[in-house]
Amino acid sequence: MTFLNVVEIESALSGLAKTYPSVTQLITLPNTTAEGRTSHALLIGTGQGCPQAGVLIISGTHAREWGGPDICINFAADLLEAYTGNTGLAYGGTSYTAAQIKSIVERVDVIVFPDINPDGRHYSQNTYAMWRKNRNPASSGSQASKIGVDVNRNYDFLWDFNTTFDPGAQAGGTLASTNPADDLFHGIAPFSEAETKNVRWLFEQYPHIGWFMDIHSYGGDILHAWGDDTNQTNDPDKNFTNAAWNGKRGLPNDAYGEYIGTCDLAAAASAGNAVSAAIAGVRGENYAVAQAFFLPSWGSTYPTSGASDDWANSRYYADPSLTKVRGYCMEFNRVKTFFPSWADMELIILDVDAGLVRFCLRAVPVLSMPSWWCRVRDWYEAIWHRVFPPELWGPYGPWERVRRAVESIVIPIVRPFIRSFRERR
Amino acid sequence: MDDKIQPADSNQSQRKEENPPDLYAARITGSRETLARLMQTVQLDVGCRHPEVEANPDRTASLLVYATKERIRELEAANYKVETLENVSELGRQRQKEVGQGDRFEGGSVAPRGLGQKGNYRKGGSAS
Repeated sequence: MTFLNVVEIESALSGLAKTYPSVTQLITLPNTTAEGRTSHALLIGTGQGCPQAGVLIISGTHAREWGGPDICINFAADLLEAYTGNTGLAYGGTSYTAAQIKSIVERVDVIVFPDINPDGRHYSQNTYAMWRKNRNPASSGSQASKIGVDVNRNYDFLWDFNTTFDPGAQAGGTLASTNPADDLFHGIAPFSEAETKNVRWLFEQYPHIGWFMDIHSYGGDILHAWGDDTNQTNDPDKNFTNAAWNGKRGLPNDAYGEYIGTCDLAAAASAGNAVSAAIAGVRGENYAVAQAFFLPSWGSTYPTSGASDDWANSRYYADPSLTKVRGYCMEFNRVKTFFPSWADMELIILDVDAGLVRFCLRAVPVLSMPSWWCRVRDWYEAIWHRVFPPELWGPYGPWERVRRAVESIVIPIVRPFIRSFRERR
Repeated sequence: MDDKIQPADSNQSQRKEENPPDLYAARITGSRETLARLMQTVQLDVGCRHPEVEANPDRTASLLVYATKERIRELEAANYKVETLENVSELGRQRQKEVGQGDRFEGGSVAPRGLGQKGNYRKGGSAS
């Protein structure tokens, strides 16, 4: 076996869709890359769940991090083969029962987008192996040194880092760059790149996606929210949408921390730990679970702007009518190299795929309703939206307006009491 | 340490040509303050998302970076303690030989098989 080239990744997706037509759908992404490539994703699921959960797994963002797409293709093939064969699945010492595989495929839409940056991968695998970005020449001025955008700095999360972050947050060199010659060049605008537009399109087309994993290498880390600043659970006003905190983000131990709900924070770490345990069970590789803002091995801070996991997490916080997403960035391979041998890569595939199955199991809804319930709910929502058009009333109709009006009166009254209660404790 | 190093992307120059100079992995060792100051003044290629930093028993730390020979010489000239490791560009060229040629899945006529073991497993890991 060898690493998959970009043609093989697309063929593999097509082959899986043809072989398992009743449980898959080949999704053609609408935005072609700078070099004219059309990307595909594969949806795995029977759509029988009520409610139906959604998981999106992407990889291949950074061209030189070769193994990600291979991990995803193997994962999709394993899941489909086990489900249709009504078997369980084992990776070294980590195993899953047939019932667990069945629960994933029947109650979760698993969308695998294995190679979001095929231009970059092709260039890395054939020309300059250490290439990181995509191959968009738009900002290059015809200079080879200035081709490409770092796809994982192009998402719309605090993208304009010169405005939104403290100047001191640049120190670690991980935030982003406005210089097209830099490896961290963030593009000319958020979502300026076909690759990020395609990921956004998947979230829009499949609004029930509630779990997101972006696979990178290397390090052996599972990183969760947030990546721009320290987490805090006390003050919802300190958040990425609040322009009053522009110029103050990205430094630890100061007045600003990014708000995350207490339950969200606990859930983010808990799911990360479950994935890490599944990986460790394969052959003992210990992946660290950490907030993305912190460097796991050193305790220092390294903020990022425009990263996929933060953007996925931010969608709900910016618009509570959207599905809450738990977004992660996994850095596979504890050996510090972008280019493991294929023999080593096969071991890594087993590690990570064991973690991905566990990740999907986390997405399986705890409660399952009869399917007629979902049909009734859909009819009710359709009627509700006809009576109260969302474009006029918002997604929740008049109740959202009533709730906001009540909140605007009650919260300012209650907040000082809560604050003084906390201080007394 | 002095600051003779250009505060720009360490690897810009190598990509100005069609055949850029090779990149080497390099381990820079110093105090936390030294490494923090280095990262403040020079944008280094430190990998994917986080710099890889290892604490040493003597309370120093080592930072893994990717740089050209020219950049490594600049770092050494600025009195940073740099250990040059493997030529990662050469490693990449070797690994390019381990990339598939053609299309083993014949345009989608053949489906890939996963590497996981299929069988009847019980919760807890044993096969039945």
